[in-house]
Amino acid sequence: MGTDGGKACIVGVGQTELSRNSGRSITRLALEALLAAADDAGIDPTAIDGVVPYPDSVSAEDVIPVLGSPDIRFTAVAHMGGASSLAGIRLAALAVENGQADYVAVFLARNASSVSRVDTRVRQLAGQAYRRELEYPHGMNTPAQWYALACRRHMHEFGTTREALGTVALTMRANAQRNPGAQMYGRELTMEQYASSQVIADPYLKFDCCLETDGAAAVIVAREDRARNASGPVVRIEGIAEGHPDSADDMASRWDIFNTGLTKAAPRAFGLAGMSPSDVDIAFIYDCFTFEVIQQLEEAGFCGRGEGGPFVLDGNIAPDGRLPVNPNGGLLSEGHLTGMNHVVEAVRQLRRQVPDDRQVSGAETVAITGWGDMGDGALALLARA
Amino acid sequence: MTQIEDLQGYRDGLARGELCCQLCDACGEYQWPPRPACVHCRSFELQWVTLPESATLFTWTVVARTRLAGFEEKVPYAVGVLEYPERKLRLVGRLDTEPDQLEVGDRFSWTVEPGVDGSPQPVWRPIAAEGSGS
Repeated sequence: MGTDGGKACIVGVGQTELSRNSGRSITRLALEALLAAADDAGIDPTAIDGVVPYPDSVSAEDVIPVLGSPDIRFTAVAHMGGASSLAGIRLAALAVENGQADYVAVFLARNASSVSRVDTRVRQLAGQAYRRELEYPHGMNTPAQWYALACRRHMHEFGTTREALGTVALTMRANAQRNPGAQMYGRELTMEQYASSQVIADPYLKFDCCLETDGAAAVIVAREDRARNASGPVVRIEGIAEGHPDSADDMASRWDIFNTGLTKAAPRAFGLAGMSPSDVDIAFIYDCFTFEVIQQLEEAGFCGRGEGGPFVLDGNIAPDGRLPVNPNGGLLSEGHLTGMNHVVEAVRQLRRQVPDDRQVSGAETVAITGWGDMGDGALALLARA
Repeated sequence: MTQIEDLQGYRDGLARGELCCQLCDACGEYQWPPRPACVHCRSFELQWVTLPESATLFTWTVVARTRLAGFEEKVPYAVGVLEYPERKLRLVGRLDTEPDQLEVGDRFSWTVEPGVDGSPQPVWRPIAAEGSGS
């Protein structure tokens, strides 16, 4: 990738506060994040000439009038559930590297705690006829239930334990204690509290499940030669790819249930970047549920399939471990902006713009995973230029 | 996406008291979930055939909290993935059994009964293991 002006970079990031009740519209939240990202990039908002919104929410045309560009040249939408954040950044990277736009804004805004909770949001994903006819009549209608099926099978095949799931939850919660902006800041979690929390969809307990969040996040993608006014060092997109599982619209019938979109996307992204999993200093894993961290660590190649449980139990994902994961606290304990908050934190970690106690020392390369829908996946590799 | 109309044969089967999947006339492969064409050979010549009564439990979850209409009062209840290895098919099913005594590999069989909205729906019940004495 990359021609005259070099590789696509993330030149600006912006994010609102994360809360249970924002008290304002999602269009307003989107604009706050977008304007903050433009400011961070050191550009006037009118310079934004490409817009990639998150699917089924605030649209490009909802924000264009206020951004004020006289000529928006590029819009696109990825339909990959929670993986749409990274898939959208990939579309933006393709656009700027091919000269189709100069500054592409990618954003997500949601009042997912106060207005639109998960069981209503998923009614916009692919395969609705299957959900309505083949799942709702049997009492199944949420991602927690879908992915609990995969978690149980993983426990059966590989001996993955409750303690491994709990270790993911506790690691994210401990990380959030170094992030005053996290929804779970100031609320520590013990293994006893975790294990005795309410059952949601067994094996998933309450603390296996991510937060519901009001807020917005945005990033601005541009070529390296347009990055000079940014607030921090240039962050290059070294490789980014998406992947779709077999029977992408139906998980239960997928013969290899662990072969997901990430399984296919990860080698593509590492190949584009000329990197391997051992080159990664921080991993941002789309932690919609605890087990999905274990599964994605495996499918992204950070450990072998079936080894994810022991990998987290051995402390590898802690801040001082071999592969620190989600130093912001993740979707489990910082907040759930469909992984865009992971991208924002990743850029700030690479720019050294987070407080010292949260900064992963010497971080030069980060990996970010996207996960959505019935197992769609994406992987981005970012590095300090 | 696959449309409700593409599932009409499944609904018709349930109305007759039968749980049906698709069988491709062109290549002879079974298919689940139903689609407008065969995923193996892309033929549109699909027929609906009744599934064998018994299948094997591949995995399951126990739903303890839901806002889904008709199910709020039923918690906790089990939803499983039932497998027909010989046809390479797996499908989601409501398990009418004690949710805390399930094991991967348990045998279940389906019947068709009125669901929470009154429409005919498959329900899966355990097949007692041979020699269990029960």
